[in-house]
Amino acid sequence: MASTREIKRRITSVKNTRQITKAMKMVAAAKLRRAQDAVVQARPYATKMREVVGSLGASFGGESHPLLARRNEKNVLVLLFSSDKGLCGAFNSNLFKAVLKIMEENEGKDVHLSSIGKKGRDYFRRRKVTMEKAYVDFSRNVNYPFAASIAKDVIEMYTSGKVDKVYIVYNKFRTVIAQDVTVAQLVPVSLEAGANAEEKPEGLYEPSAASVLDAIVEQYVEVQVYQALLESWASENGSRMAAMDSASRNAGDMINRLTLIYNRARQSAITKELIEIVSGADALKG
Amino acid sequence: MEKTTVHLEILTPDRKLVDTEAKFVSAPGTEGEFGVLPGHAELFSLLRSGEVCYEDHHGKHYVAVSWGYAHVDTSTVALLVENAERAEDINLERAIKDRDKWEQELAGVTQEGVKFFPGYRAKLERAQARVDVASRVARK
Repeated sequence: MASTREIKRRITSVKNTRQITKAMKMVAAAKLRRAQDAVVQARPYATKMREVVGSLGASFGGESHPLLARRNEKNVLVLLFSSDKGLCGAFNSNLFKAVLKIMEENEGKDVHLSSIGKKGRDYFRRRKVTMEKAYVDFSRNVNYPFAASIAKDVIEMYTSGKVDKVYIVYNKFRTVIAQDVTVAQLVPVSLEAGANAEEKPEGLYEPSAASVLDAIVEQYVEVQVYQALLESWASENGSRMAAMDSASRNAGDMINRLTLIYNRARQSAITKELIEIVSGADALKG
Repeated sequence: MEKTTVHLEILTPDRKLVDTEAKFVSAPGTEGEFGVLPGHAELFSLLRSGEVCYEDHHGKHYVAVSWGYAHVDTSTVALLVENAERAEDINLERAIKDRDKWEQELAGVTQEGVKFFPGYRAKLERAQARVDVASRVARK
């Protein structure tokens, strides 16, 4: 059995670890709260946007804008929302699995990748993927201008013909412990005319229908990127919080176990010493 | 009874700034300022930086907005803009300083810097809109 001193050292070290994981959990919880707020706040804009784009799409149909036109898919871009830091459970590995699946499905085509977050970049750098852009150290930049700049890059790549289809892959925030990996097609933009297609809006367009559509479609892409960014950010922090919570609990269990072993070792040491003294005294008497 | 108000929403990507019933709304379209009263025909319009004015049962309100667009139909007005600020939330002095800064930048643009021109112009327009809106409140 290990000496009492060694066990004590173990206990101290596990306690330190628990302190750290607890602190990280608190930080993640605070960030999560803010991230969740941001998701909720951003929803009305995105919803309205979808409505407007939907009704516009109904009156225009496809092909009327470069970002709407379908092309022969030879180059596919995957826009991956990963994290910069680890210690957040299965957050990243679930994403990577989804990306690998896309790559399988698109065998024979060229798959390009843009990654938000270091983890995605590092993981796929070693694989046969064409890395386009990596946006790292973004944790201070979870805001609209950042999302807009990503969207601009994507649109740039699409209109220049470098890629013919763009997917976004991100974790959608469901609850603190549950995230859904979501794969969605970003470009070409698919306008769901569906729901209220029969009531074609015969409204006025200022300055002209085409320029309105032009402005809106691009912004629609931006908004989708923004939403994905927010969802992903909330998921990352939720995931990290859950991971750190269970880590803290595990550390607690370990401390209990070690303390038990420690006490046992201490007791047996005392017993041993007593026996030695008693038998020593007996020997003298004898 | 005819409805006497329209439902006004001013939305930015990160929040909903205004959500109210308004008797009247005016907004800066790219083709010129336009006003909306209840029962307006359906309209999509792009917006430039400028000032949105609306009147609800508390009185008149002013909001500075930057680039975006408006969707109007008979009972609702939705303004989706990149930035929006209420007049009360803008610091006039700072807004003026900001505008002057962009004015100078714009004046200092040289031949080779022409490509920055549209960007500066947009910034200046936005700054000017903020000044206009803020001074509306300050004058009261």
